[in-house]
Amino acid sequence: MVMTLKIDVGVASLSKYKEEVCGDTVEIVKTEQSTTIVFSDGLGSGIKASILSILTTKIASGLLKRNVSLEQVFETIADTLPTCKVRNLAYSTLSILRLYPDGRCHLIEYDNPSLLWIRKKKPLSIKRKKRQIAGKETMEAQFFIEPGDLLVMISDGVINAGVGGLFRLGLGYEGVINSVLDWAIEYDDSQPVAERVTDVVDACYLGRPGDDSTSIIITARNPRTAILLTGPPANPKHDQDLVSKFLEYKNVRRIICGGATGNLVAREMGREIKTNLKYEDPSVPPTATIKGIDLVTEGILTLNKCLTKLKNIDQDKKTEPLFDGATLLCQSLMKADRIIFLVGTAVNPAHEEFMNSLQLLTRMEVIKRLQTLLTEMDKEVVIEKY
Amino acid sequence: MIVPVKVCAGTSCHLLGNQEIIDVLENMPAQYQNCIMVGFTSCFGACEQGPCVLVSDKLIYQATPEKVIQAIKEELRSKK
Ligand code: FES
Repeated sequence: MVMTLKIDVGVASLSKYKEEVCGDTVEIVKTEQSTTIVFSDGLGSGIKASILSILTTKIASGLLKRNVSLEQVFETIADTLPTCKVRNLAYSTLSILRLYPDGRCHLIEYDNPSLLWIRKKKPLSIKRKKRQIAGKETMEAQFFIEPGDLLVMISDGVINAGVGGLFRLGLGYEGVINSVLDWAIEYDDSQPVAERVTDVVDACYLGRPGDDSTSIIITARNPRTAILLTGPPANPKHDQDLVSKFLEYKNVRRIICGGATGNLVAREMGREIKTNLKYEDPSVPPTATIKGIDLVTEGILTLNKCLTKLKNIDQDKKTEPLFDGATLLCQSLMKADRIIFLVGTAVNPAHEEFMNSLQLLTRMEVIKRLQTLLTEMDKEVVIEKY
Repeated sequence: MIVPVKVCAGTSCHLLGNQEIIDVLENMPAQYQNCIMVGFTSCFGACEQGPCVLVSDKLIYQATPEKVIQAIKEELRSKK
């Protein structure tokens, strides 16, 4: 079977002390066939460096979107961007890493610190070959990653953090690996790890970075599936079937939305359902717990609120740090790559009256709209009605 | 002795005003605070007659703060 790895990329940057902009630029190009990360560090710092690195990454990502090969992209850039006459240096560095869903990676590096590869908390070495592309000496590598692997791309500002101050030789590769490992156990997303690494860098520079510093954390994982059961089935005879269906999937996050649904599952599993002791948000009924189920929320109100939250989610896909059922549900859906909705279509007559007056969407309507939103976010969504 | 009081936090009961009852329960005079244990439950399946509150093992339909306090008092008295 072909492995379909999901690639998470987190990027965080610091600008050199007293500079308004960062001279490092990162572009991520995602297509169905691959994820490509383009990283460039412009010579020097400030606006000039920034423009140079933006120019480099924009040219590269533009070409990559048109399916141009990595070599050709490199060639074009090497030919286009001049070198500094005085110092005989290239105006910017460039690393391009392309990752395929089967785990294959293709890397070309020019003048950047080496990409780091970590598996099971240990660094692995990447076999690189020198390769001349358009008169420039680049390093090239092809390798295969597995779920759980971590790749770290950094600018020299990170490697040199604290040089001559806190450390004689700067943070170094080892320092970077240690701080990545420290934080990677705490988070299962790349972004916070990337941010913590730049925090460490900032601290090494005692809050006054001596250079633009960028950390890019790339993690590979198996796709995450969530299964969400909401509403009892139209025919109570199907209760048991529906619950077994809900429980039969392995390695999934199980979510229940609905009080009656929660009671139904608890009954069928022979477990207790405990409603939590607090209204985190007065407009969202409290969540509950059933052993073995990851999230149990109320139904209609929570689903409607979750839809609103998901619609308003900001660009960097962060929800507010709240703990009400709707926020938790929203976070769970965001985290999943694949979501299976099992929707029971029994109608609660007591709901009908207030549904209209409060302009609430019905269960099915909310789920359909969630499907549209989640599909737009590149997630695979399946709805099954009962 | 402690009287368990469980307020239904299901959709209907929430919309039918369980919050008012919760507020009153949380702000009961000190002499009662120590004798009751307030919690929530999911739907009792009597949504049309909400809000529902379970005081010990007595289910109160169309509950109001007064009805709930009355039931708590009765419960305390009977157990004395
Ligand atoms: S919601 Fe309270 S009884 Fe159904």
